[in-house]
Amino acid sequence: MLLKSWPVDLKSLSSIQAFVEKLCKDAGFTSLRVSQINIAAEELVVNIINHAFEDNKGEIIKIEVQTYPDQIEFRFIDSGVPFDPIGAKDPDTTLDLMDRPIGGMGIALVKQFADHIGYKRCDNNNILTMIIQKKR
Amino acid sequence: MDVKIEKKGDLTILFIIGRLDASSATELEIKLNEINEKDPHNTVLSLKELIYISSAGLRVLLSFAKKLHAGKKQLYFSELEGNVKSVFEISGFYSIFKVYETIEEAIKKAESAV
Repeated sequence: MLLKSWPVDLKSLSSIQAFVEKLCKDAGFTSLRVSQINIAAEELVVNIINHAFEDNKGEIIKIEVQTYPDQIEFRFIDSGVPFDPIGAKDPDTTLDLMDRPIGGMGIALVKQFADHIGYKRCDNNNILTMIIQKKR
Repeated sequence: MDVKIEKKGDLTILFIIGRLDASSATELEIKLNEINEKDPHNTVLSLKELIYISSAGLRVLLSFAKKLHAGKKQLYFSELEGNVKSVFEISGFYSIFKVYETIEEAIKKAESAV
């Protein structure tokens, strides 16, 4: 099990992406899948940066990773306000250009690229678990 | 992320290159807003060299398209590859945008609409 933490700041994103990318590459995922996992991770991290804290200063985001022969499991942990992004409604992808809302697409991408995603609130932490299987 | 801008007659042709994530999306948004304010035209976007796009990038493109559309201009996408293509599919962008396989095709359509 691997655990790393970063400041809750958009500046952490490239380092988090490099971390996720290396782990997934080493675990043997194809480059297409690595990129999809990275998109999903970005969406969850950016969600925390934008919504978890009133003031991000001094706050941290933790990422816990466990690799298995057939899958990789990520846990994104923050101590911000309780928020379950999975419960958010999927955007209506049938609307016309001018009616399409600008937001809400991130979680739809996570749901599509991950094999399992789960939220729980535990000890004042938001914990998002994302599992990605090697075969799908 | 890099943007290359070309003009062809009455068209603007934009090449978006590299990674379009939450860190680089703002930079693109500033550039696109500038284009839209100064000199809006029917615009062809080539995404051939775009290797990564997340929802932050989608938002910027959607907002640019809306602003162009409000000024009666259109956005034409071309040359989507790999993951960029699947992100567009999942987000339903194929049903709201004109997307073409080649840039030549997109330019032809855009020119005939001028």
